[in-house]
Amino acid sequence: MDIDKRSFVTAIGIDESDNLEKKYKITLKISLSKGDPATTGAEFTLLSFDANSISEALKNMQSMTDKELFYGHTKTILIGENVATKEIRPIIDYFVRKADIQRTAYLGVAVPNALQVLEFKPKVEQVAGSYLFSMFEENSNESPYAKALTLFDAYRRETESGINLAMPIIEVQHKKIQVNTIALFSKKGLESKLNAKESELFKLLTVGIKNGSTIINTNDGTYTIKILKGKTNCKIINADNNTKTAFFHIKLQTSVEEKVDNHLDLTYEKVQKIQDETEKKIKKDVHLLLDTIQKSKLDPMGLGLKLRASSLLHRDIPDIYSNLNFKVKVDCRIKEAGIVG
Amino acid sequence: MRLNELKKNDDFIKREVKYGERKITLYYLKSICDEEKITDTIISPFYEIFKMDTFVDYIQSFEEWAIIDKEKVAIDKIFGGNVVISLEDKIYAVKMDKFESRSISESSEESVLQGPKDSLSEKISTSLNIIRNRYRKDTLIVKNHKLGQNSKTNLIVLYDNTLCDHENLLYLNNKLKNIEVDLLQSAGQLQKFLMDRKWCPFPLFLTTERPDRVVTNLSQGKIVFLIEGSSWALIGPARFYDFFKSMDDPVELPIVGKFFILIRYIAVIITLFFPALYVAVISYTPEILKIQFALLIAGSRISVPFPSYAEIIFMMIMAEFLSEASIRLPRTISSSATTVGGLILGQAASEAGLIGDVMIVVIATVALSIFVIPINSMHQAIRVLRYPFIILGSLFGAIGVLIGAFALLTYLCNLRSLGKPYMQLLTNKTL
Repeated sequence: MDIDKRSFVTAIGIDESDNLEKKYKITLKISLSKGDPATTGAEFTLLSFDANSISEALKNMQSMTDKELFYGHTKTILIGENVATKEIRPIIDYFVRKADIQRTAYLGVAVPNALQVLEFKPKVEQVAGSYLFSMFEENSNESPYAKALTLFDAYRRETESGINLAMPIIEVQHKKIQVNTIALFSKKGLESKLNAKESELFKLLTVGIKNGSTIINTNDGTYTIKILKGKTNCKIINADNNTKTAFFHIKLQTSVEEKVDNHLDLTYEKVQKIQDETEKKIKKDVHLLLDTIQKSKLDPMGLGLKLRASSLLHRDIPDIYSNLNFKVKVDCRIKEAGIVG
Repeated sequence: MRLNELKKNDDFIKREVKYGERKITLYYLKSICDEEKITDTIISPFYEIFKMDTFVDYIQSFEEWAIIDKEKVAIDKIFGGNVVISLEDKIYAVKMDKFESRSISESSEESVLQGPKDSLSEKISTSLNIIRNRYRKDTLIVKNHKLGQNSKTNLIVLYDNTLCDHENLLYLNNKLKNIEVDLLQSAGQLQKFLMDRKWCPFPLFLTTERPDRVVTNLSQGKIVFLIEGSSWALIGPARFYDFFKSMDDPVELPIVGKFFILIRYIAVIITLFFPALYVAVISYTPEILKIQFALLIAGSRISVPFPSYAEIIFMMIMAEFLSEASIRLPRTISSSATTVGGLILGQAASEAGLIGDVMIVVIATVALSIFVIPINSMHQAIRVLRYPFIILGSLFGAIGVLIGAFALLTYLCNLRSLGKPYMQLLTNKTL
């Protein structure tokens, strides 16, 4: 089958069907390319079908086109919020089974639904749908909020015990797409959402961030601190047999970006103070976040898995995550303070 | 053939020279003998030497002379450029040959930037002179042979006695004895007789017209054949990577030289696999391309009515026509022919919707990279081998190309040049 006899499906969306008898409404974003390198090939068409299973829908949509639907370049899989809250396992399972979809495809929760996200047409786009996945790609976007979730990772998190899914939320707001929050899943479905601030901290705790920021209040004034680079090391320490502690060591490289309410020159002492305040603030925020996540009984950081991996008797380990203690240490270094010396 | 029949040839000369009672008769072919030399070295001395015995002694002082007892031998000698001298009672033959050839010219097939520019000559003694002057070692041995029922071509086998493998020599001598051929005119022809495999596309012997390459190979213990009438030497045993050495490499600084060797191997891999992989990727596995690029190709192929394998074979054959035509055409026309052919054909074909735009890039890359290989015979072998790979690629996709590549590698490893492994890499330089 030659390349010109295939239609490239760049994104798949899964929504709840409006028809009460059907389970899903599947939407495909198909790129229409003209092959002229001078113009961008952002033209696309959407195909939708309501069916009780994903494969049935895809099969029916195949009969709606003259070309073969080709999923080798499907880079984004969007799951509507309504579907995500109900049951996530069969969807992830289906896409892992479907051999022609690359397992490096990105997953995301679409709010309010997948169809609206897919309908969104940005002003400039290389290929229809590339807007969606380039938001996640490390080399094209260094957003501090969105943490990309690939299909193979999702399957691992869904099937492994001691770790849960955490999926970025793609939201359509006022004809703009925004990805700055993260949805936390139980094994069954979507449970809670983190707000933008929490998402940033969550990313700091898991993969590290670049270009983050935080606002610090000292008694001299308010400053905006830019986190140039943040990384976290996580270790689990056995205090005694019953209590275990997860130790997070956060290293931050920062710069003072904005003096919000004064024009005073920064001195070395002031910089030290800002540094201490930043450490204190991040520590407090991280503790708060860890406690909320722990209370919701979700483990998106895989601490339970980490525990099990370090023990030979991992099958017999009871649920230790809920009584895990947290200890956070923050090392903040202000690299650029805007002063000499 | 009798001596009388020779008289039918208009260039056959019978000269009777008399001085008093003494008389000699000369027989020779004036087309292959040096008449001036005959006058100077035979006829004038004849008038100066008064005793017949002394003249006989004088004749025996020539470099190549023989006493002839049979008529057949006399005829052979005449055709070999000898003058047959009939004295009162005996018949002598003296070599007085003349071999016309061009003077030493610049090597045209294996050009280099900084290396020496001269090439071997059609005249075997000139070639030998060039080689001897570059390799002044007492162990260099020169052996004469004659091959060809009709052409009776002189053949010289050269080797360094201390370095070369004597088993190879024995093997070669046997081979040479058993060769039955009417006409032997070139090095490539001799190679075919020395090769054991009839259908092997790869040259198992190096053919070169560069004396510096000959000398380099002599110093590596290889055996060199020089053929009269051909400015190409044949060198064996050869190894695969010998064909990717340019005589510029020893001149260049190490990093530069190694870089260019690397470039040549990359070029071979591109020419061999690029067209096949293009078909395989386009028809079977477009997912390995970047999506922008995949869509670009898909879009540019919308107007093309043919499947991708027909498209590429059509264009490859066109490119083949071009390079064949540029060899045959006179030098003044060939450059314009290639420009017209290359530009117009590529541009017009894509505008007419016969091929995709990306295809032109593929074809141009492939056509260009094939000419990077320094030795002509290897370049032709690679050129032919691209087509089986295209067929494999269009039938079985990337897996087919991979299996083909593996089969090619095993075949290469199985090849032997004069009993030495063809793919003997990373071993000592001498054989």
